Amino acid sequence: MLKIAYFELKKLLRDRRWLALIILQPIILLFILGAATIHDPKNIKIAVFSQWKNEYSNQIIQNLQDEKDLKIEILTSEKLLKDGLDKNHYRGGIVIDIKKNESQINGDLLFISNSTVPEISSQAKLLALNSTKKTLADFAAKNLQAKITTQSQAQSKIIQSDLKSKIDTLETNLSKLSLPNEQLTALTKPLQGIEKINLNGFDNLAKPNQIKINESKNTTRKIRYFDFYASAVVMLLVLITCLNMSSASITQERIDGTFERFFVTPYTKTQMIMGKMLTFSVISLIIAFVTIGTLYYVFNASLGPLWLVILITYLTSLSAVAIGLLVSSFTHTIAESIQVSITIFFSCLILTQFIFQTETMHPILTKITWLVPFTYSMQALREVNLLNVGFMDVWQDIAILGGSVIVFISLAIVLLHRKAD
Amino acid sequence: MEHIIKVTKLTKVFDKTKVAVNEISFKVEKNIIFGLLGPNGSGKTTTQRMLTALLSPTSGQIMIEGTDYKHAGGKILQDIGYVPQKDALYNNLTVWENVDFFFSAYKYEGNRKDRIEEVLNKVDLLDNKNTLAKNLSGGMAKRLSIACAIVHKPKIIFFDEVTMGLDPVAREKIWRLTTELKEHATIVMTTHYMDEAEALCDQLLIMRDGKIIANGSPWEIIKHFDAKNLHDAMVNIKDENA
Ligand SMILES: Nc1ncnc2c1ncn2[C@@H]1O[C@H](COP(=O)(O)OP(=O)(O)OP(=O)(O)O)[C@@H](O)[C@H]1O
Ligand SMILES: [Mg+2]
Repeated sequence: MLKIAYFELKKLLRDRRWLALIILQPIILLFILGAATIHDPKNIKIAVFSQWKNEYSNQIIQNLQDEKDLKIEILTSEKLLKDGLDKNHYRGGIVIDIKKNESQINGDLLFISNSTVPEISSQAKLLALNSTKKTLADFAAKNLQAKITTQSQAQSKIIQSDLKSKIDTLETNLSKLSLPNEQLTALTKPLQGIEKINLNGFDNLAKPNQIKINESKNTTRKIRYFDFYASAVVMLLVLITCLNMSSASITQERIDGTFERFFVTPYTKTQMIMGKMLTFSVISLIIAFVTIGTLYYVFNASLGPLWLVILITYLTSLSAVAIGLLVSSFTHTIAESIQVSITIFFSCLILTQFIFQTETMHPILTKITWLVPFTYSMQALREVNLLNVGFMDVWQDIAILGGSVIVFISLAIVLLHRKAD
Repeated sequence: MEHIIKVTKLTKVFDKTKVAVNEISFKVEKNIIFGLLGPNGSGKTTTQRMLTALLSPTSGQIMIEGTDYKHAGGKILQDIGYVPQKDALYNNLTVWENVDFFFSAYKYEGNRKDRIEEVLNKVDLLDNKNTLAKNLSGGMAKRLSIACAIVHKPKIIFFDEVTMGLDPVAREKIWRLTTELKEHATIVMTTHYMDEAEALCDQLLIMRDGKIIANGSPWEIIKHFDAKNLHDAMVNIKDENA
């Protein structure tokens, strides 16, 4: 078997042009990739924890729950929320810390984004923050009105009409607000405007503006938008290259006639598949190194422990080679094998959540994604590269990947017909 | 006389309807050159492919050295060498590497390097041992193909039109080589060159449309068809067919 692998490697390495393509491809594609797609996600899972129970926090939660694209889960501690985010259970988390006493309402609202899926996370953030701001605006308006009713009728009429326009401005201003890190200054501005038209005694109405909205991420890494794709792109590059080279490999031998010749010798199909497997895994290790090297040295990408990244990539490549060999066990022409591997590649592109997230998927398709082994490598790579997780957090993904290698290899061996009929 | 190959009612049907080989039975003696002749499409390659276990017969029995092929498993492959009709070589490997690769599949007692050298010398390719297979001429490729099939000293060697496209000198060489090989092996060959069959083969089997139409030594066949030589005998067969 080692001999098979050795000669296979020799054959491949003599094909210089092909080798150059294999090495250049990831570099070129890395320069092209990184563009984003904007979706309309639904059912974004957001964890919420409120430090205190009061009408303000309840109202904020209520409004978050009414937000139709969010799926709110209320947790009982901040620790649960942070753990859940680290385990990638939620696309974002909100910690509400709003206290109310006699005359004052103040506190913080913290939005924590999930760094593995920034685009979904920022969509959620937008929805959550807007909902919160609206809630606070309502409070301000209600407070204002409560005070107004205690004033004289005549006075209040003038004030009410003026107030109404002020509240309208307030709400339009709020809806325009999308800068995430901004404090709730928009609330104070119109209220200051109200003060200017001499609304005596209303000076404590602006209390909700003491609630600050902050945000943070569940990782200490500096993550750019590029990293979200870059972290997982190594998997796709390995996938397409390994699929193509292995799926064409046996087919080429069929065409050349060496396939038949091989099987007139005592060599077995297990030896053929395992020999090729060994060779291709060497090539794919090279591809993995080139890609990870480019990410590291050229793009300064956010990467986890290198050995873990390489391990996941390597298992991915083995799985892809195994699928390729499986494909070549039933295809008869190169065109056929390439077509099949391209179809598999594009299905994986969609199914592994590289571009599309489960939020935008048909529920049945969501289930199917978890049958694709590369979904696990995608997930593991993202977690390792973007979050501060280690082997213990992704060992299940790694185990599934390893299992898939065994399954596909066995299938390839079983399905490979050494006979020509 | 000992029979190394015994074929009984061997049949191959492709795609349920295409009968390529139709209930043929024959025996091959040890250490002879056995010629499979017949017009294009008569089933020669198909028969050889069944004898090398590349195709499974639709029905019938193949006995090699007294063992039924079906029960022999992979063990029998150790004793078989096959030169396919189409040169099946690894283009990106050199002459030496091609031989080395196929050789690596077999058990062999003795020095492998010496054996590869010996075989390459036999087929006159030792000077080209570092040439890539894709850069070989047609005749050289054919000779390499032979080298790959005989390097492990098989007991039965199948040649499918090995002299096709070779110049007279190269053909001579292969004839000499084949005769040499006969000392230790049985050769089953197909050819469309009747002079070749007449000069080389001890025993002939003539097929047409998957059936055997004649069987015997070249001399017997010529007599059977009342012809001057084998060429005329074969032309007669084709005429009958038309
Ligand atoms: N894999 C296959 N599928 C279907 N038909 C086949 C297959 N292989 C061979 N045949 C058919 O079987 C018949 C015998 O073919 P075969 O190759 O054995 O002929 P041959 O005697 O070797 O001819 P030639 O002298 O041209 O090499 C032909 O009609 C061919 O079309
Ligand atoms: Mg033929």
